[in-house]
Amino acid sequence: MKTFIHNFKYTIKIIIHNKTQMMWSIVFIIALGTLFYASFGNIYEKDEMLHSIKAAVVIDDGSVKQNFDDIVANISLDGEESLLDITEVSGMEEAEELLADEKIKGIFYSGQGELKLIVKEEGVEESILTSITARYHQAVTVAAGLSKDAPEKIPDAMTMLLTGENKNIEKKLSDGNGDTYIQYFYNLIAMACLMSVNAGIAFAVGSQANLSSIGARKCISGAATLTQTVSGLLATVITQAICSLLGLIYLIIIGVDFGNQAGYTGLIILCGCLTGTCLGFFIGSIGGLSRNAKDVIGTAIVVGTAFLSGLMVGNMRMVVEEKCPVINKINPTALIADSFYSLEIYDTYDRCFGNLITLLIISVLCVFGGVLVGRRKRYASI
Amino acid sequence: MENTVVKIENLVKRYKETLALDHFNLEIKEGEIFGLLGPNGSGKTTTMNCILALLTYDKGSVEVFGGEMNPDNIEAKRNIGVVMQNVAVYDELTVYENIDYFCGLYVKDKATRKKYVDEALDFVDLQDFKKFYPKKLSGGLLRRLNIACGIAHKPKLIFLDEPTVAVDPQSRNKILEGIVELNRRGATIIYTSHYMEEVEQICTRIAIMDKGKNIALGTKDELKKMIKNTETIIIEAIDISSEDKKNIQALSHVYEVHTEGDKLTIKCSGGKHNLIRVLDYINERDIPCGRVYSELPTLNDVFLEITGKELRDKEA
Repeated sequence: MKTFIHNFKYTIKIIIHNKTQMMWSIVFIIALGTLFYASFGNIYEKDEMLHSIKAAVVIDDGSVKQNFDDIVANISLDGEESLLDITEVSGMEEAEELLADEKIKGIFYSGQGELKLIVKEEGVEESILTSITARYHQAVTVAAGLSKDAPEKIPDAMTMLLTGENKNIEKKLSDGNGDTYIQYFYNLIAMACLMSVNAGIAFAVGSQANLSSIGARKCISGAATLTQTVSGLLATVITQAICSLLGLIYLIIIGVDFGNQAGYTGLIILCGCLTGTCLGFFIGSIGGLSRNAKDVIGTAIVVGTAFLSGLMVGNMRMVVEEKCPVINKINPTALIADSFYSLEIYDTYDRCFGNLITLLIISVLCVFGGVLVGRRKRYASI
Repeated sequence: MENTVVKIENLVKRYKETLALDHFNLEIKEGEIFGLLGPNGSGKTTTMNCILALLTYDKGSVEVFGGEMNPDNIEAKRNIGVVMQNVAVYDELTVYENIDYFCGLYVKDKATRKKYVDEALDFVDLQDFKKFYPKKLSGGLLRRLNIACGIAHKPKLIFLDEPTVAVDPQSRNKILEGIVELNRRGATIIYTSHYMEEVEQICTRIAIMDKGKNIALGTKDELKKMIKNTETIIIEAIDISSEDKKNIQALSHVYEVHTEGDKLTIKCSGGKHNLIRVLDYINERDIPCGRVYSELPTLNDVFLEITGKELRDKEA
């Protein structure tokens, strides 16, 4: 145990003092995260998230106003905020001025028993205003029809039409973040975790007599290989996880919403770094490959899995899910990113824990493979 | 009777087509400073790595401390210290931390380890540099750190693989003195080098290797007795006729005379007062010459006579 702690302590010290490796681990997230945030950090808020639509109302006919007010009062974004932000103005001239200055998206004009909509251009918000006008006209038409055939049903029908009462029951999965662009940040952190592959390779190479003098010295030493391996790997995983966490904290500071489940987020990062490090350890332990070849393989795996997970092309994971779903089940980057996603979207942790268990299985297999390859090893040449 | 610390029997190691060790045999006794001497590529480091169970070999056996040496022989490994040819220390750790780290792979008790590390620092005279990082050390100091990392845990058997390569003369002398001191304290030393002067200076027994074979084995005196040459007389800036050369060759105990430019080399085998006889002849004939000196045979002469080639590369 003393040797374990001794090796653990010094491995952490060695990694922390390796400024290049440490900086790269953190700077990668900071640089790419900033770039992502600058590119589409506010797209969701600006373009996808629905805000109250500003419109002006010019009332020349009081009979229209009551029905229109009922509709406006009953259409809301989230049960609290009204979909429409209505400004009542005294005349068309003032309303047209607001529209020209783009302070409003449309003008509702009520005159001669009719409701008219005036918009400046076409767009999502203008379409919503058009549909509100259509609903008003539908209500008026229905009321006119019922007044002849079944006047007693007019109150119920009008209530339904004007208030937009819906017989469907809406059930939300969770109160999570629906921002589709957050996926990129999930993938970014997932890739950062998997970049621990490099640290894993460095650790394995630093333990091999045929690849480094220090490795030779460690192989000859009186400490058991298993003790050195497990303590060194644990130290590597922890330092890598700290780097990824620092990167995550930076993203949160600049405004990326990673939810409020800090404990589980940390657990996902720890598991991700464990998988990355163990995968690197396995690659590094494979005999007959030069250090450069191992680094190339490690980088290819990191980039390749990140691509398949959707870091470069947003819907790639969906494409993979359709064509070859098994890849998503074993792709570590996809598993890490999906863990963040499911943590945010679902109220239960089943899917998240399922992913983490898969990551742990991959890690155990890699360590087992690496130890098996390196155990009792003598080299053909040094 | 001294115990055998290392026993190698019939060791064969191939690197594809190259035969690195050719039925190599060796026995090293406790308390020796054993020198493995040979030119680059003769198989010294391969021998060392086979003993340390780092390399696979095709045939033969290696025993250390009486037991078969393999990667799982932790008990034997605990009593072995290795000083690599390449400096094997962490740039990220200070001098003290490096020694403490490697010592900690052998010595578990913290207090004992601290004592050992301090002793190792004293031994290589690096106390003043213990907080330095390796990148701030000169080549000589770095070599001394490399040695400290290999010997801090007080091993009974120490391998030193060319520890003085690229080291200034002052540091080299310190290293050599240190090795003798380690031996005096009870460690058996296996020292590989292609610097014959070093091997001659410190080793109690020497094996000369060439092409993976042990071509000569013994103390330096025993090795020198194996060859014909007992004394080499060199006369510089001499203008000598072929007749005089023949006459010198005819002097008793002289068996070879040759000139290289204006330098005359006379090789003698046995006998006493060879230099006086040669000088008498030169004075008698009034042959003008510069510096005259006599050299006893070196291990290079041994190697040269056995293999027909120089032991050391010209540039070394």
